[in-house]
Amino acid sequence: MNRLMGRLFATRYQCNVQNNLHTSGKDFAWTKNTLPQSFLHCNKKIYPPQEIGEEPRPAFVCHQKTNIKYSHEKLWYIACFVRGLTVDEAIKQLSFVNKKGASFVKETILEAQDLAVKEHNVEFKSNLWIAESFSGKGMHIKGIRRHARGRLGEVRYQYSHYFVRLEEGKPPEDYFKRNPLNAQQQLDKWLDQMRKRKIINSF
Amino acid sequence: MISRVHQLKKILNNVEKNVLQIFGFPPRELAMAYTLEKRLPQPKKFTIKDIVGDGILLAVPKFRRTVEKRLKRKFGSPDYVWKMLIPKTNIIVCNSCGHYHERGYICGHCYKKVEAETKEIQDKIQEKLGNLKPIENDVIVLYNGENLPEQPKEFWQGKRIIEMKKDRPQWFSKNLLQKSTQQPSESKDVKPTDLA
Repeated sequence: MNRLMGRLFATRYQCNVQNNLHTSGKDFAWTKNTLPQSFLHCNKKIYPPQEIGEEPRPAFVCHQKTNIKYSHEKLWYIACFVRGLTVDEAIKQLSFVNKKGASFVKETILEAQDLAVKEHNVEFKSNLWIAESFSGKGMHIKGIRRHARGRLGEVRYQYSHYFVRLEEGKPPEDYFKRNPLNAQQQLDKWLDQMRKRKIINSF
Repeated sequence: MISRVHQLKKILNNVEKNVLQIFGFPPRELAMAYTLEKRLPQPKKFTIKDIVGDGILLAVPKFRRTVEKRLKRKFGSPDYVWKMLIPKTNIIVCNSCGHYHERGYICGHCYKKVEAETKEIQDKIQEKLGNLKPIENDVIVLYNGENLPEQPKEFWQGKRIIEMKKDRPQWFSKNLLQKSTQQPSESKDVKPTDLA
């Protein structure tokens, strides 16, 4: 009887913390999480099994770093710089970029590489390249500063986010599709253009 | 013309009023009493109008920024200042530690070792000699198992010698401290270990 009552009133809690809404203690429980989350949902997508003849879909990992105390316009330059490089090359080059954002981007890429190996079934950590890399605007906190003649100015303390997607395999030869033509291609193109000409009002 | 007539009318009215006042009409008893208050000069209030004037002028764009201007601002110009970052081609691998560094610069990782050793020597100097300032003679640093090069005793007068209680680091060869201002010696009786 005692055991039955004990079992009836026993409370077993199961904590499935998936959405870490309450990790930031200061916010109220009913406020929305303002951090970007849709980019990380790409990681959770489950693809159907591929057909036999299909090309193998390369493994990828999406990672982000939020609330970086840096301007997102300035971070864009570093994000652009890193696009299309292999992970090793990117990390090497970023060590020599003289900008504050470079350290954030480098950290993010290293974390993403780590995640790829541990959670996303990537065999070799060097066999990754940066498929997507972009910056987003975080919160801007406004402050005031004074100018001459009693005028007031606005100071923006800017935060930004950085998103990166690493893909397995070799990077494409020409990520930005600059498509430089070699000598033979240029010659052929010129010849084609010359041959396409028409003398009007002729046979 | 009509205004002149009105002016004349006003003048006549005033004259009439003044004349009647002299003769006591209206009577003085019906006059309103009031006290003459002396107004103190108020401090002039500082408003935004003093700066801006009567019309408030706020900066506003006059024309739409063309796409060329926008692109110029974003990317710069290849002829002047290109704002996009370019990968560096002068990064090489350090032969001793394997870390990367720019060609023509010291490897950062190797330099950290040097920095640490220097700090140790400096601490030793501070501890033994009391100050780090180079007075007149420089400091001679000796590691484990090293002896002073053979010189007459007068040579060592005034020179400051520090003995580090550790082995000499591999990378710290003696000719690193070779003086560039000293003339190379002519003598042929120098031990190989004491070269430079």
